[in-house]
Amino acid sequence: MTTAPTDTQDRELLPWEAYVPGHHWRNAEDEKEGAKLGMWLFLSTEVLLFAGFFCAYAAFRLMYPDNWHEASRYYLDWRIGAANTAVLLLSSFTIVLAIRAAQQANRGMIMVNLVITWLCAAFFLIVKLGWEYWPKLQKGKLPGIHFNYGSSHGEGHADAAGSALADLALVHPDAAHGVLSVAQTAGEAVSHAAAFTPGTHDHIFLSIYWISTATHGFHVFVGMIVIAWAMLKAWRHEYGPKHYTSLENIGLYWHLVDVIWIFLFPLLYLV
Amino acid sequence: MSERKPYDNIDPHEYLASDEIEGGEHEHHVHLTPFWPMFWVFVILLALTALTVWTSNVHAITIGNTTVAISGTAHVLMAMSIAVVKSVLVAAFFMHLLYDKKVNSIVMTSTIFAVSLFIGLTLMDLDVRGMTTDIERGEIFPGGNVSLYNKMEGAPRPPQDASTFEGNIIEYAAQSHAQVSGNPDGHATPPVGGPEQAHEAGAMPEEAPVPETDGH
Repeated sequence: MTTAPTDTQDRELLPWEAYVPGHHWRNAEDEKEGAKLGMWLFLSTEVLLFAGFFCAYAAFRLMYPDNWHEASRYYLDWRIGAANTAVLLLSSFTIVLAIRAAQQANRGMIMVNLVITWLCAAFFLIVKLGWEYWPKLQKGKLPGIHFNYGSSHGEGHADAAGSALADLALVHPDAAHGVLSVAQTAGEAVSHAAAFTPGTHDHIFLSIYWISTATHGFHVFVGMIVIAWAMLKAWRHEYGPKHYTSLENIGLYWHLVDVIWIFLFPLLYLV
Repeated sequence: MSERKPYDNIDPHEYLASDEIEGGEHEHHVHLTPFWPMFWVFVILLALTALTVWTSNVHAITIGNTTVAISGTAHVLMAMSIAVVKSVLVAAFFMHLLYDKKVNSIVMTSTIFAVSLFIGLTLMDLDVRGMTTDIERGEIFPGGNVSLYNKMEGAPRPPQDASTFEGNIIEYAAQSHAQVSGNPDGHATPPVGGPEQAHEAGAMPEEAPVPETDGH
């Protein structure tokens, strides 16, 4: 399987050829297996982190199923989510090909596949920020008490709803009670004006949307950094059949980011 | 390393005697990731994504003369089933769990088990918490007459579908409590009103103590 170099006597060894495992390891394979086990433990903590968001989602979906459906259909565009899903799947496939290229000592293909992966991650983030976050930011569809019902629906009633929102926010310093009252009052105020009737709990849906996608987006951003680091290491001939542990662990991390999006996409965009 | 050495307490794993530490040539079994299986997994993942999108827009199935409506819960279950299949494909092939040592699979499986406990128990709690309203009314009591209560005709029931009530179950409980306290006959009707009713009903207990404070 290994494409063992035959000309090592005539030249200086490449970094991946000269790699020696840490002195506390019996051999390179044990070192690699230990690193991978550590990576899987880290990925477990990541799963537990996102489990909190999924649990919040499930609890509020149980309470407000109709509102959830309408908010998902109205505020989010499934085509953007589907495009980002396809891009993340492609990037997962290319990072698998990068590992395959490392196993074949094919430095050029490692670089090509890592560049494609990195560009997919950049595409994902640009679409997320430019086509999803920015329009919502402009319309005041922010998480928690900053959610503004009035500014996008209410032709005519927008100002009334906005001022009612501000007044009630002042009247109710208690945040949880205040949000509920503000949401109900504002929702009633604009429901007469627009074809779309905002649900009284849209702000909860969008809060969960913001926190889960923003945390996921941060993971994509971190992924871009570590993939760039892997590109640097590949450029320095540090990945080859004998040693590509960090590339494989970066791949594991990237696949987990993909898996989390596989769950977020239908839950947020399609439900 | 050709002849078998006696057991060495200082170097039981023959680490010092091994030539591996010198980084020299030895038979190294690298599992070469196959291209075509990975490619087909990628294609299947894309197809499953398209399937998820398609099923999310199917609201009824007609077979012959029978039309079956698909509820929102069924949509969630379908989407989650497809997502689980996709994740298993990614984990088994892309993340090499199929080729790895079993310990990595065990780590992730136990994590998924913990997550399922976390979400499952939370949902079970939320799903049945509305039932405590009947206990607080004194209509049913723990260890008592639930089966009798279920057989009563015209008995007031909490809404089975939370969407018929515009508040959450905590608001529902507050409204039911207000109705019972304002209507001591005990013939409380199931609250199906909008949020404004919930708000009015919820305001009643707050106004009730006012005369008492005047007396002091």
